[in-house]
Amino acid sequence: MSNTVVKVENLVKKYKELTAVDQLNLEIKEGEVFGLLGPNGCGKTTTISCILSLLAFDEGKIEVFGKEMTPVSYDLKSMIGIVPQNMAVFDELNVYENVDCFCGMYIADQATRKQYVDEALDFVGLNDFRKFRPKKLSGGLARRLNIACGIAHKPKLIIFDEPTVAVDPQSRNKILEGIVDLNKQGATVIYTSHYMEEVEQICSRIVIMDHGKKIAEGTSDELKRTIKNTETIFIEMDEPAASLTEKMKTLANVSDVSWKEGKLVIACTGGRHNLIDIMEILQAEKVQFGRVWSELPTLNDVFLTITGKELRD
Amino acid sequence: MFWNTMKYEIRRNFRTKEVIIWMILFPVVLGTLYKFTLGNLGKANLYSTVPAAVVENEKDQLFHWIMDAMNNGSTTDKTDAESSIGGKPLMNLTYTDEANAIEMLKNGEVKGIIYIDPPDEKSEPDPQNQKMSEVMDMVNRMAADGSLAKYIDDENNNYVSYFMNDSGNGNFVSDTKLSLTIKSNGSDQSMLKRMSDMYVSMQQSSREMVASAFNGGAGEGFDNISKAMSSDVPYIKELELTKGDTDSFLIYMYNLIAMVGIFGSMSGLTIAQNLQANLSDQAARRSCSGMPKIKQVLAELLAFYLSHSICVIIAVTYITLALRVNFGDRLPLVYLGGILGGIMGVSFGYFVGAIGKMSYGAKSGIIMALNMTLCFMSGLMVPGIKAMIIKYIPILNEINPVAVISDSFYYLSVDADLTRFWGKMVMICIITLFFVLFGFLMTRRTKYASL
Repeated sequence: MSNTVVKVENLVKKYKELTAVDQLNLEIKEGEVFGLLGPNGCGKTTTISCILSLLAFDEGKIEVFGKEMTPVSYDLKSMIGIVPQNMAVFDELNVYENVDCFCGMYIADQATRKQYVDEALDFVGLNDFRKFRPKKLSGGLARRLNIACGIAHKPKLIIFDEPTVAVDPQSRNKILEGIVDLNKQGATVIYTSHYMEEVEQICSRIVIMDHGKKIAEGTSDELKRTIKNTETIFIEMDEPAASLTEKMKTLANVSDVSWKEGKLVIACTGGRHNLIDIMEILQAEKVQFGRVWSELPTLNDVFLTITGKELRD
Repeated sequence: MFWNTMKYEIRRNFRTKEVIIWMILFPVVLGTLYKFTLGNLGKANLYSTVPAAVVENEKDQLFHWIMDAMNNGSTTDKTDAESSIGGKPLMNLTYTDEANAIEMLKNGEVKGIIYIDPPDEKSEPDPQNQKMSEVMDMVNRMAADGSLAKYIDDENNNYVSYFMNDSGNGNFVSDTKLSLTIKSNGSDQSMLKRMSDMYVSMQQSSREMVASAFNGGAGEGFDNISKAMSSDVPYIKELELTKGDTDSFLIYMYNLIAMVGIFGSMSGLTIAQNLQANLSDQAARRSCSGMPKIKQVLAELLAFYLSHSICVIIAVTYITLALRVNFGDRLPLVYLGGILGGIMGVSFGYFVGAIGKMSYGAKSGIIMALNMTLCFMSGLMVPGIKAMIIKYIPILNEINPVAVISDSFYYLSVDADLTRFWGKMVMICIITLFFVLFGFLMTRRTKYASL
């Protein structure tokens, strides 16, 4: 059985009247890419700050690597790497100096540090930009520098707090691939995001948060299995007659039929050949239609099912 | 860890535009501006010994006495070998014949020739002058036979005593005629002219005083002289307050260096910014590191102290070498005062920066306002304010960082004795310690209520 790297028990953090984190329990195992998914303001970053012992919390207990995490747990902190949401680098230092500066807060030996910094720059693909100041870098490259500063000292636990905010798709993919590589190299990863696709893509286990509470937990497949809909079919067409929608609702696996923005949206709860059955009805009724496509459920559907709102709302 | 952090902090400091502008360029530019606009302010105060030749066509003991007194007075205490400017005699007189004096003037060895000639012959004797002449003859006769000595009953009356002792060798009251010959105009020649005029004035005053005193007879006359002399102490010796240069231009330079020190508060402000996780993302990242907080604080402080000290050294060195401002033998103390003042300024900024969770911009505004207020209270803006504060709330002046720095430089410029200067240095260290201690107490927190 894998060792527990982070254990959060009944964590409560309040800002005056607002409860930012409410009785949260987490257990993150060694070697996991653990995703913390939720809309903005759901308490992800607050949870991370509590784990790092930056924020004082009202109730609960946090253990990292089996020891209680306190502000002076420097031995534990030295095994953690943090990639914050905002750019946390110095504008006055160039790329190499920034990485060396932060790596120097963990690694005292100069030769080892140089090797680590070189490896980190190579890993994030910033070797050609060593002498560049952060402000001269594009948004994506700057994000990579932010990551390099957090991982250069080869931490056992790396926390990524929304590292792809305002990043172009190409850089985003590069970052996500890098995180998977780091995990393969042995690092346990905590990844927070409100982008469900990213979490789905890289995380081995996911916790969905809303209003400071954990609302769901499991692998991507486990989470999707918790919802009724297994498939949603979309058909481009004019607004259908009521008789048509009623007819479709009589199909065995169809749970709901609605017309939205020029599309007929048919929610299916399982079973096979749903699309064939629907197409047969359309042909029988001689209805003209455009494109037809089918989508599998996403984490957004999971979130929608549980909370009644979209993840991006 | 420690040295690496410190190294990068220093590097960051010298790459920060504000540091370059305010800590290095500002004193250089302002110092240069001072030099070109105010550089001549002190020249009037600076003087060197003026060489002059004296041609005595008539023996005048009073002239010798006054010139000796003036020169010795300016020389101050002969045992005081450290005297730099104030220690110079006003004039270097060469008593010689006319031909040699003219030759010396032509060669530039002297700046002028003072002629001492017999008094003009009067065609018709003036009753007033005649009476004075009689009195002078009587006094001189009495001085020669020693009968004047019995009137000396006050040993503190040096002036009269001097007359008594020397009067046997020449005239007690002089009636000679003084004239000055110069080759060109200049400050040295003006000095000779002023000295000659002063002598003539003193000569006239002494004659009138003696004549007036002897209206009642010899005995009463000497008593009157004695009273008159003792009640009006003449200028004999200038007591120097400083060994440095009292040039008012220097005061501007001292203020400039003090200002660089105070500006340290602006850079010190960023220390808290770099340390407190609730103030910047960089500090939050640092707070998550394995480097203990105390090490971080010390590395930051030392880096800023060192950076600011380098700025002060650059400013003082530029003022000294490039602008050729002479701080005399007090240059090392100017460096010391500037560096310690800068360290206090940085600590002040650190202390203010550690208070509360305001933005850097807001804190910059606060520190600027504080600096201005402290400058105002230290009299750098309105001199009278400082006097009022010293009178009514003296402790405020003692703990006002700006006043402490400016006072230390003031004492350095005017005091011969360094006691008060060292006192201010100690006060700077105490205030610095206070700021650092309380700043640390506020930044040592590693857990925050909010970020």
